[in-house]
Amino acid sequence: MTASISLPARNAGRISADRLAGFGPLFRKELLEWAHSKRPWVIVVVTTLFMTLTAANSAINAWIVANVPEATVSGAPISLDPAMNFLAAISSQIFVLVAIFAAMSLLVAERDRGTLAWVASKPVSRGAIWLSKWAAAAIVVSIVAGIVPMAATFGLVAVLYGSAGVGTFVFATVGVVASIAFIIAVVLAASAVISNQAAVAAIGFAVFFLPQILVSLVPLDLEPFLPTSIMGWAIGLAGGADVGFVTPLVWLLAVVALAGFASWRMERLEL
Amino acid sequence: MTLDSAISTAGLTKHYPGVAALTDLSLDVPTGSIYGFLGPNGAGKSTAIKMLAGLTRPTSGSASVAGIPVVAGPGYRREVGYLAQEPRFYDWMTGRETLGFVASLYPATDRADAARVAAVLARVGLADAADRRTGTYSGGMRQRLGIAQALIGSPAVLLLDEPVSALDPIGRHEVLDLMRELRGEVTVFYSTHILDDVERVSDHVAILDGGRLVRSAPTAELLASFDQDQLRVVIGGADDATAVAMASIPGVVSVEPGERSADLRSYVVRIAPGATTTVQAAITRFAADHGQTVTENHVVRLGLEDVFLRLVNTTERAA
Repeated sequence: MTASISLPARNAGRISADRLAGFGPLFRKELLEWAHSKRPWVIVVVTTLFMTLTAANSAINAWIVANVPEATVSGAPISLDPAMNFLAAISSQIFVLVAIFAAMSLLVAERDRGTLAWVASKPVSRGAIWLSKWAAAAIVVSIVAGIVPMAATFGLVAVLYGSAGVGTFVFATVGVVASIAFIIAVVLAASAVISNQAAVAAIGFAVFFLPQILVSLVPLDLEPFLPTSIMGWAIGLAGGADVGFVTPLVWLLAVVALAGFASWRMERLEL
Repeated sequence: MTLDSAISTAGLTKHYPGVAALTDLSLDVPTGSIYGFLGPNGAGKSTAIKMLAGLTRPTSGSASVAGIPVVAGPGYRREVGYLAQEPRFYDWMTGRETLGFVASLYPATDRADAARVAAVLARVGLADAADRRTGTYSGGMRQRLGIAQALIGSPAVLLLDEPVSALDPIGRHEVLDLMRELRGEVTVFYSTHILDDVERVSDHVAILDGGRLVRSAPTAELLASFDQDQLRVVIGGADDATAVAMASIPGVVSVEPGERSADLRSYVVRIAPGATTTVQAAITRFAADHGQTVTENHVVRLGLEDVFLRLVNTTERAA
């Protein structure tokens, strides 16, 4: 026998309005959960230390060369250009690694603990559960792994080398925030399918880093068509390059597609 | 579905690869009842409750609460308060914050205010612990908070999955008292394998075994249907031939000899439906004809446990 169920007409409109049912309180809960956790503090300290030390690397090397008679510099000469040193701190993409680790347990752990089933038994849509997790994580991680460390790095660069330019800072920050939002969407969408944190993290790494490697192997310029190129696009924009608008459009479509897929998948989860 | 059904299922089925967890469950749960859902471990009780809570999709069949089909999503779940077998909450929230959070998930028109949150906490006996983190709650407190969060949205139906099985006797008593207080206010549909509790609290019962519904009926009616088919007979001066003679009385299905003391012998006499009075009279007449004395000849009142064991262990499943 197959299920044959027709909805009463009075419910039809309500069901479409219910697609985001519960988003507001769920989003507030997610923000509160981050606020109660030590995780943002750990992220902000680790990321800020990593980025500022990377940015200070040239200054430290220059100081050593100037003050230690036997010291020599191997490889490229030391650059004391502010923009170069500011962008060097970003190019490590530490924020992507941090975002993957921060997001990989968000949905999986709730599933394991049983709190996901508890919340899903309330009059909320599962799409709203996913979206609230993504929105809260994207905001919090963007602040603690993106905006704060970048502001600290920008400040340190100004002290050590001179100003990298406000435009560079603003556009690079936009790129970092967009990269974080994208990778968290990938990790949470994977969590709607797989209930293993390590596997979810592996998918995050694969989606972010593999295409960047693969496009370098083909003769065509596919990089603008990757949502993961959003950082490079933002920096190019800051440098006045003609980068077009394909990349942000692809980024937006990718995030919307991930959200749509994850919501569809969440509705089919057996809890 | 009948007009006064709080829950109605038709052919509700859930099959996993290689496992038929639940097959063809058709039930009508009367509005305002306390409905016990019985079955041994693995009978399909939790599967059925999860489908009714909208957490698991049926393979086939349909279910509705207050006339709203389960596929209506949030609209359906407004009518349902669900308590999982092992309730889990956010450890960092207090009891009050937990109820406030759940209340906030309901549409503004149905939303409980702070006064109602406090009233529900008091009702489940958690007023003093309301501002403690739920991570510090005992199993019994967690269970009572579970009932509170299920009640906070004023649902039409409470679905409670094994609400007392993990509790000590005091905790069990408290939760059963609470369920009894809810009679008439909300329909309570709960699963359990503790049969004494069902007999004490439930006015209706459904018995599930191997993923299939074995019997559903008002509790008193179910017990009464088994009362009429068994007699306890004690005869003075009975001998070995007495049991054989009784077994030959029309309407007697079987005779099991019981204990002996002095010259008294006891028997459990199973009888065909509707033959109670005739058989009782025939036994009395037989004893008188053979110079024996009948000291007991009455219907045996079976407890729910006996009925349950007979239903799940035998093929005696006639409606």
